Amino acid sequence: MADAAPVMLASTEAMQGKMPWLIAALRYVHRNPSLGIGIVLLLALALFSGLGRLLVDVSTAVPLSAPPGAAPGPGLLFGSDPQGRNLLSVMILGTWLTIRTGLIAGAIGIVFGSALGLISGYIGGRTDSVITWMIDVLLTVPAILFLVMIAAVVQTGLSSTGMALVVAALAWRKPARAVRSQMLVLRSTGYVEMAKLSGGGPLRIVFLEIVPNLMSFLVSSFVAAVSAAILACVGLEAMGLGPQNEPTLGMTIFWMMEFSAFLQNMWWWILPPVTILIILFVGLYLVNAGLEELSNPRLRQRA
Amino acid sequence: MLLAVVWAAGTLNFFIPRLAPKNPIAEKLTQMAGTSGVDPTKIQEMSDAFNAKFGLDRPLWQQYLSYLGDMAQLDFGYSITKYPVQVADLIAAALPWTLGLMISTTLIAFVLGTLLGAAAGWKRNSRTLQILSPLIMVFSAIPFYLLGLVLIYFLAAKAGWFPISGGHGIVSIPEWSWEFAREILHHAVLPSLSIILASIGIWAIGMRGMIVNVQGEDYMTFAEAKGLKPWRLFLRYSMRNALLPQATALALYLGHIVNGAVLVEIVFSYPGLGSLLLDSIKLFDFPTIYGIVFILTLTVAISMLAIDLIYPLLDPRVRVKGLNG
Amino acid sequence: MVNRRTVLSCAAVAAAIIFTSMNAWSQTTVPRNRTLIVAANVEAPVYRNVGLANPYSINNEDYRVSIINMFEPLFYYNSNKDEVIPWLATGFNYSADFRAVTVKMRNGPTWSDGKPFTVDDVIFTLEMLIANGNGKKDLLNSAGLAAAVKAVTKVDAQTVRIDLNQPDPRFAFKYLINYYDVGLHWLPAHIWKDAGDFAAFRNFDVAKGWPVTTGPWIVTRFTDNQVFMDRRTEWWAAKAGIAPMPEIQRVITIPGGTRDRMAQMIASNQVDIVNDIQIAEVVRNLLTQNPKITTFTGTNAPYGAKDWWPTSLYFNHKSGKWADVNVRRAINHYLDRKQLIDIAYAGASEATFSPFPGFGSLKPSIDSVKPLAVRHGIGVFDRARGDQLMTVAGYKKNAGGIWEKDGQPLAAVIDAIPILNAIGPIVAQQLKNSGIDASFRSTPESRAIMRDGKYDLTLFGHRGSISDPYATLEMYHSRNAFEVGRPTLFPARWSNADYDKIVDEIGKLAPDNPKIGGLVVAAMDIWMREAVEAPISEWYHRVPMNQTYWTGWPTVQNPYMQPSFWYTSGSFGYVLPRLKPAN
Repeated sequence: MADAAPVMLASTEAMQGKMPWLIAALRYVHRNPSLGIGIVLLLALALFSGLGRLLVDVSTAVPLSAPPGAAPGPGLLFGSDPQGRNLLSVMILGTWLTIRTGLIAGAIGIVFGSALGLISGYIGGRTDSVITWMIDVLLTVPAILFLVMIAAVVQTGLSSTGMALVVAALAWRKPARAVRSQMLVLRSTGYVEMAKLSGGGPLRIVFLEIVPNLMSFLVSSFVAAVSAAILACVGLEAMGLGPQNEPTLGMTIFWMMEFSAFLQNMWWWILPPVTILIILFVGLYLVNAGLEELSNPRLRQRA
Repeated sequence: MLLAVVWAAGTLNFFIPRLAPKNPIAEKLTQMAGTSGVDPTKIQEMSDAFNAKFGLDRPLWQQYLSYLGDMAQLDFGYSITKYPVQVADLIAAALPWTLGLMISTTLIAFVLGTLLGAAAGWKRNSRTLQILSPLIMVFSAIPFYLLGLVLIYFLAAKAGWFPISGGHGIVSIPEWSWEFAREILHHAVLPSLSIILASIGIWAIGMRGMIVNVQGEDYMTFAEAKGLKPWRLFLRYSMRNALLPQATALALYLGHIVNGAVLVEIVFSYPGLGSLLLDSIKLFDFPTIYGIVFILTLTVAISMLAIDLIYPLLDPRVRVKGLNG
Repeated sequence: MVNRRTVLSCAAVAAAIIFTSMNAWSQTTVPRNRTLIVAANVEAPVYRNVGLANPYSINNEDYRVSIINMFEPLFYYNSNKDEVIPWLATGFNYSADFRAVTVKMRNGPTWSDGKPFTVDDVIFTLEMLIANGNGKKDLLNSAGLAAAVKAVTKVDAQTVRIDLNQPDPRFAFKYLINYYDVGLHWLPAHIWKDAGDFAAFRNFDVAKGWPVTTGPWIVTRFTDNQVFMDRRTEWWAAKAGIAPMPEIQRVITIPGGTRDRMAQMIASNQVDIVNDIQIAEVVRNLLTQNPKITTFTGTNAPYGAKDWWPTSLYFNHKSGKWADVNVRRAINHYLDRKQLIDIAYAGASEATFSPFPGFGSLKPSIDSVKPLAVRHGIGVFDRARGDQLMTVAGYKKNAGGIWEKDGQPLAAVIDAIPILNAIGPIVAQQLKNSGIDASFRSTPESRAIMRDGKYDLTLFGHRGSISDPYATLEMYHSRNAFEVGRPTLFPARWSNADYDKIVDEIGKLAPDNPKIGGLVVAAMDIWMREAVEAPISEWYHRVPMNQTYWTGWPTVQNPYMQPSFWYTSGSFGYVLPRLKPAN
């Protein structure tokens, strides 16, 4: 492989002129493998789901679309479940639904939580104490109580968007606290005083000066929030409280346990959703770890 | 402050289950439909009778006040949907399982994870650690119960080395003997393993981060310059400083154990607080819900208080800061 | 791993202290081949009501599968052969106007504490329930009994007469004969008279030998995951020669937990009988895996015994959505029952066309209504005919293939309890494929929706008749059509005055009156014509029974009782003495 190196070097140099940011990004990824692998995993899932919807007829993710309980074979890449759902379609659709739910819940949680944390940390004083106290109280509510109660009570049955909103209602607690801590640290640094002196209003300072500095922290919090949201959603679904008419990954796990897939040796029903979920969680985790390294140079492993 | 948090949390937890205009008795009777002697047309009558018995027909604010009074005296009363068992008995029966499983596995994971994280943070160039630690940390991304499902499939269903579920053998009478203890251990392996494997990483990450932060501090460079042996540096300086936030995290985590335990308990048929809470929520059994959540809130609050009290003992800087205002 | 062992041993000690504190007796060990191990109770992984043995408590999940079978009834009933088996009583008869029932007790039964079982115990139990039904209403069966009974009189030392408020030729079948969930349990007056609050009374104390029953068992242990019932040294029925003394020395009942757990326990011979496995493939696997396992129908489909719970798709007759009979008939035509049974039950069930369960005793009724079903198309899969009916009802298929009328596409939600999870999604999909936008839902809210009459469509069973068609027919009487909001588990809420008249007539006649046949046909003609519901299939209890240690289970070859033991009738107590050791 020794003579491949000069060739590669030559081609990167050639590319350098065209896309310097790409080269810098690739170089960084080489130094920060977690981020790299994480992104690759997530991209793979996105491709599986995105391309899948184009190539496969996902309307077969409903019962009676295929011979029931069939093992993987020609035409049925992932086999079918005992009610006749084509499991390939279910996985493609389910991956997308699960990711989308996590994104919605995570986004709402981060936006609302960060805004609250930033404002509370910035204003300080009694308002800050009251808000922090409220967040602490809410943090003691067992998530499961709230989630199950709402899910059990919604008369019209939960759709996956509905579930995202329910999870979002709890997802903002931790980010609010974390962002507030960061805000407290920054508030005492010099440049906030400078910005105040330069006559900026509080909102301007918070959102135009401070937020850009917290960018990598916010992004990493977002990834963590998405991961936690997906965890909560899948957990709810696996208990049977999720949207029963949508073939999400969590519902697949629920049906799989409900219909004794283990006893019937339906490995093709057990392994795909579990594997996809593991890849999803691991991917999110690695991206998060990579982002943490980005923002905390001391964690870097390679020079 | 502690009292205020407990009161506020208690109030919140009182009203959340009431958001749903449900009657626990009617729910229970419906659930028993089909396999018990309940007359299908007499549900209303029986509900009314039990409503009166449990005071569910009083106005909400009255129920709230008596709830506050009961909680203050730790009198959880009777479970509605499992009448006539007392909530305290239900919790007392479920608690040993949760404590036994969750706490022991958390402690083991904490110890192993902290050691691993410390080593990973300290010796960043070690090859084995570079390979091992990401692997372990990756496991932490997987929810306990998914790992549990996989373990059950391979080690219990296929290989038959471990029982699929339950706490001890069927016909065994619990007694104090090594034989019985061995049985409990045998049944606890799979649930413990799935929790430990999945949570070592959490502690490892945290610890690694702490160690790395501590390493950058000035006093570490100074100590190294003084010529202290690496071992000593590691234990007395790094570990000791990094352990404090780590212990805080542990205390907070213990309060939230039950959350994560629910699905594990469902998957393994482990009769702990998690599955009791889930059953009670599904049937809107208010007294049981209130009892369990109150205990949990109390645990979290007490653990936070304990940290506030113990921290100054462990970290002299906090003590000094306090003195100097 | 010293940490873990110490902590877990401490947990074991704590658990041991809690467990052993409930039981002061020392346990003798009984060999496995003289022990019957039953794994039942799927509601929770442990028993939550430890030490409760009150047969009239509404929370009977824990002892229903064990201790209830110690209580012996006046009469057992075998649905397989439609035979009443006199037990604590020798017979009953009605007065000519059916306003009174006279029951004659057997001479000889004794309680487990040695005292004789007498008519006073029966009177005490009835009066206690009636008083409760007129008052607090917190005991099972009390409300119904109080409404039916006017007075209870002791005629002599062996006889009791029960006077009824209305003439009822079926009173004995509703309260004195025990089968499935029907029947009363007789309490020892000398113990219960001091019980105080009957609903809170636990009736349990190992040291005192409570619960005191007439059966050959005594409870020696009741913890959160074990119930031990040990064989007594003597039993009145063995002395009287009515039944053999049980060979089983100890019955251990443990929580069943999930289906997977029960299947693995019975496959590995750790237990002898478990709860209903339901999924036909799983039962089939068990039968091939372990040749010692059998079912009620042996190793053949349907792998179990018929239940009094045939499944139907119910319309909500109070909501107005299904007011058009053509739509109801069309939906009935859109259900492909054969496909459903093939998919959900691996073909191991039968389609139904009426609300009656297919017990032998009901066969004449079912046969007589078959022509009606054919004529009105009930239970017939015919998509073309369904389409015709929808067009007649004024619907047109829109661009999405859904039936639409006045701009409104026809959508419906099927709410059901989770036990119907195997069929629900398939029914919804079949309707969707035929142009009705249906979806299935079995959330915890669904049971309330179904019970309160707020559903669109629901899937549910029937209960009702076992030996004579009246009970099922009565479920559709307009007095059972509760308004929306009032809870009932008869979901139909349908009313028809002509139907009511016929059913009232049947109610006045004794079950063996030949006039009933014609009246049933007349009533069912209305029922079928109005397409009250869409019947789907029979419901089977697929209970595996392990013959490694015990044989003599009830099967089709030897159908001496139904093998489902979790019902509140206590009929499993009839089976226990008839099980023989395998070696």
